[in-house]
Amino acid sequence: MSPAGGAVRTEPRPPAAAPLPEPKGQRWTSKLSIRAEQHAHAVAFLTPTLLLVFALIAYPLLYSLALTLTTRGDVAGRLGPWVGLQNWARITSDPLFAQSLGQHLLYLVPSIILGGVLGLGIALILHQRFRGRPLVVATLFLPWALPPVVVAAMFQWFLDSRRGLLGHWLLSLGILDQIPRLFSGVPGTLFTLLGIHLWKTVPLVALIFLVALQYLPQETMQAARTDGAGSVRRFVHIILPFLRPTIAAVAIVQAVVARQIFDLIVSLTGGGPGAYSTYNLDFYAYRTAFQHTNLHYGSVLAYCVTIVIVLVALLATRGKASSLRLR
Amino acid sequence: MNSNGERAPQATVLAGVLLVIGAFALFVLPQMPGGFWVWIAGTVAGIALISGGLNRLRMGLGSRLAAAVGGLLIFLVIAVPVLFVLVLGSLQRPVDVLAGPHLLPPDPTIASYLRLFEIPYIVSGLRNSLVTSLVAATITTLLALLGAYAIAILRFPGRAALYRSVMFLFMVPGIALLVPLVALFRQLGLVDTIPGMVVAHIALITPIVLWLLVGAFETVDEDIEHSARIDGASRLQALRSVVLPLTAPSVAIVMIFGFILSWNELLFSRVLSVSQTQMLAPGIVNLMDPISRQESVLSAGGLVASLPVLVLVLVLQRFLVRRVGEGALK
Repeated sequence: MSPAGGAVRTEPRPPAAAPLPEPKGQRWTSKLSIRAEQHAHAVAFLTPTLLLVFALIAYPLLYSLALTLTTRGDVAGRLGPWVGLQNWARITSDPLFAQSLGQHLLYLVPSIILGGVLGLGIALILHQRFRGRPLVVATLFLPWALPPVVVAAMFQWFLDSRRGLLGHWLLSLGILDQIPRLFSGVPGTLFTLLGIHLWKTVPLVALIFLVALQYLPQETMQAARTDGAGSVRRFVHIILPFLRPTIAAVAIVQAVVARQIFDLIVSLTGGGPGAYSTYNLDFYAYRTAFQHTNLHYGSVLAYCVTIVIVLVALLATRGKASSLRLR
Repeated sequence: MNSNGERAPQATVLAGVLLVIGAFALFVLPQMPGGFWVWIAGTVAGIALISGGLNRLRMGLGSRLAAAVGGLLIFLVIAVPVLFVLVLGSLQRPVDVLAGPHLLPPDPTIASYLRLFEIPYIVSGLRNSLVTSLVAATITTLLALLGAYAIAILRFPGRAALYRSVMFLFMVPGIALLVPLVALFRQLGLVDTIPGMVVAHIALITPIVLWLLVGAFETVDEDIEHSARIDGASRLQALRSVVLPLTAPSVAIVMIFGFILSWNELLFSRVLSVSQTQMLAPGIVNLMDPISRQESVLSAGGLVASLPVLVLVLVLQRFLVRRVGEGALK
């Protein structure tokens, strides 16, 4: 990115961008062409931001990559001797990795698909005008904003088998004849965490869909209605295609926000009950890197978390990341 | 099929009820054999009903009533646990908590809050979290501001690639950043210090702040910035006197987003604070210790930990809800 814009690849500016009389004296930039000037400004403006991103994100990620290729040296955290792909090869023979990855997907796939469906349903309800709508829309911000640990603490009490309100209500309504223990079943606890995670994330999904629905082309909808297209056909042929970029965005947001599942695991189960039954990859990486202080294998696991998210993004956008707009 | 106003409201109400039952049943059904699939089938059926019912008619009293019922149910699913567990639960006495679930505190008291503020790691956690999140959100927004402006408005070679990498940054998970940061911090002696905590939180929130800022600046009409330039303003002047006033609410929102993200963070705070820099989120986890847990104190702690975020969300809503209503949010 050279400030002297010799290599010009941008489209020409409209004539309005022609050289202007400088109001006060000669600035050094006034001698350059407009385009070159813009490049110079871009470099100047980008420098602090790029330094920040490089120092705190890009360099650590590269360092992490180096960690995956080395083994422990004299000092924890320093790069030791190079071992090639040995740390990466370990995942193929690590049963806990396979289990964590499977459970990772068991959290992630429903939180994308079910979360997306539920969010769209809520958005379709709130797309209507009714009294009290602003209050309900405002409420959607609540689960998103609450700290995940607070949500965990809240549901720990709400779902408790002895002191919890939910079981108590279900019992007195006669829906259940015995209060289930939601934090001790072996496949069940994972789904309890998933449910709490959905409670926390679906409202945000609904908000994203709600915003997108505002831009639904009303003329097309009206025309379809006049032509006698039923609601299902309107939904399938107009609303869904219109929402496709939003659906991709929602999938990515859900994949990114899935990091909060870590908070639920730490605060509610610690990875149990039973043998690692609520582990996901984030939690396994955390245990490996910080409790067993193996930063090298931990880096491999953390990279696997990244890879899962990137795969979701590629699937959701079918490789066309540029089709995305969140806001 | 098109007999408007006849069957749609009933279908929608039914679907809404299904949705709520489904949402709560999620906690119960998977414990039973095959229950998870029942739940999925129920949800899909419910959504089909909702979309069918709601889209059949867009206007009219019937659908408004149905939507209002649906809205009420959504409101209840969100608000009931918060109200009855966090708010009212924090007002119960430990004795009442042990005696079993109460809808309303039998003998309301603020004892839990007094008890809460006697816990040293909660008090210092509040202070440290407040400092860390405020400083991190401010520094990140300031540093990302100019770059976001350049990416959104200026034209230069490599802009498209930068734009895409901003999106990629957003996808980097916290754990992938934290492992190398800890390795580097150990060498630099930054573990368990407030500056180290701030730096880590800056790394945490930079991607989203950058992305949201680019989005905010993109909404500025390029021509406006341009005409300011024609009038002789320098880039910095144009940014300060034209672009920033136009986007000030959005920039404020982005900063609030950054604060909330940093305030809510558990992973970074837990790993980087050993003894000197207790943070609030790990403090709440400490309160959940199964042996010494007191639910009412925990609820009080949860409410206190949510308070700054709730205040900020109220501020946010003044902007966001209005925009959602107007359809002007881009």
